[in-house]
Amino acid sequence: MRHASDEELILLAWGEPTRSDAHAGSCVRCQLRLSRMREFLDGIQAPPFPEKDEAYGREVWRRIAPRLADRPRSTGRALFAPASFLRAAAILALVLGAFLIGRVTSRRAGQPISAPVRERILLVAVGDHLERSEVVLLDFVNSDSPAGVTERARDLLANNRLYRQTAARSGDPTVAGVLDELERVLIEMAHGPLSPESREGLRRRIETEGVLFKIHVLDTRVRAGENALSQPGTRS
Amino acid sequence: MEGIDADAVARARAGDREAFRELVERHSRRVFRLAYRLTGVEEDAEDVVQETFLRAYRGLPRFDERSEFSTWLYRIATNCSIDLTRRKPRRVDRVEPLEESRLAAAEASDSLAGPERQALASETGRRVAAALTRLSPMERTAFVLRHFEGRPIAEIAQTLQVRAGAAKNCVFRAVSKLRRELVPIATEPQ
Repeated sequence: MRHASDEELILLAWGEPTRSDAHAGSCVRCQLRLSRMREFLDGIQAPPFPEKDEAYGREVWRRIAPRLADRPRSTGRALFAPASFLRAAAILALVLGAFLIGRVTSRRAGQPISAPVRERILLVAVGDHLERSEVVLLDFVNSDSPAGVTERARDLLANNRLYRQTAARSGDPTVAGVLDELERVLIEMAHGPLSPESREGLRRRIETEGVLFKIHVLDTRVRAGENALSQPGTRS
Repeated sequence: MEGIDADAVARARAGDREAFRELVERHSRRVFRLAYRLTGVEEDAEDVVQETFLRAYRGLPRFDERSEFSTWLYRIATNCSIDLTRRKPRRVDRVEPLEESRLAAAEASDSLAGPERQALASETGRRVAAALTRLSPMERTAFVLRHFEGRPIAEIAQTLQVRAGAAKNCVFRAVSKLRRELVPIATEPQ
């Protein structure tokens, strides 16, 4: 008899199917835990939001109408469209390089972006990279045939190299070490379809070496730094 | 695609701006609500609403008419919100621990008088909002879509462009963090 895990209880509380449906339906202990989980989740009510009246739609139209082309076109992308992420990451990497060079050489007048702003840009970019990497690795570990993992790993690989090299140059061996471990995993994933044995071997490696945990810890650290820099009164 | 949007979408795809205007006016408030829940900032939500409709207009030629327009639109809004949250430094609100007396009141909220219960609900709402700011963009999005918007995990995975297992993990991490932050409000599951 296997009791429902916390994760399964969360899904059950929301009415999502799990492998424990049948067991949880007949087990008194699981029923009790499920009712407590429901109680907890029911307690999380959506925060109130600013009400918009009937005229809001007209207001939105008034704002966007001048920006619409005569006919819908598939060309042209917004500045923060997802597809521009890689290009943006490359630009950020350049900014990052400039920032780090700036740290080791004398400060010169006329720098277009202040150091804290550059640092914040860097932290946001690295945080996003770590979170995307975590999602890809989770996909790989949790699925028998993860779709698009090869391509996603390749996309991440280029940025990872830049961040790792930069971290190594800036004298942060911990960050460089985690990114190095991540890179070795990404390289294997990017090499294309893996045999079932290789996939299992890589999964075991990710688990035994705690790669996901290390990425998560580093991500949390980076986010904390990002948040500290965004607090009012932080050095500017 | 069926329902009230089908005709307007077909006309908008053919270049009828008035038809697109109908869609904007019909869906703006719901898109705003979703964007506000995802960003937590009114000005950001306003930006997301505009960006969502601009992207939708540009993307109309690629829209698959077998899908629901509203589902497609909310997916765009979700992605715009994630992009915006990632670009902007997040404001993280500190979650203050509840005093003992308030904790007792929370546990016995059913017995409270109207105004007191309202004050407690308002305090709880603030704490939930603050706790949500501490989640990563993916965790927050997955949780909001599942818990507040009632979207199934499969749809959330599609929206976030990840496998179902990864979407579940985002939700689990979010719930786990919220439990740590909010346990004084609600009864901790054992």
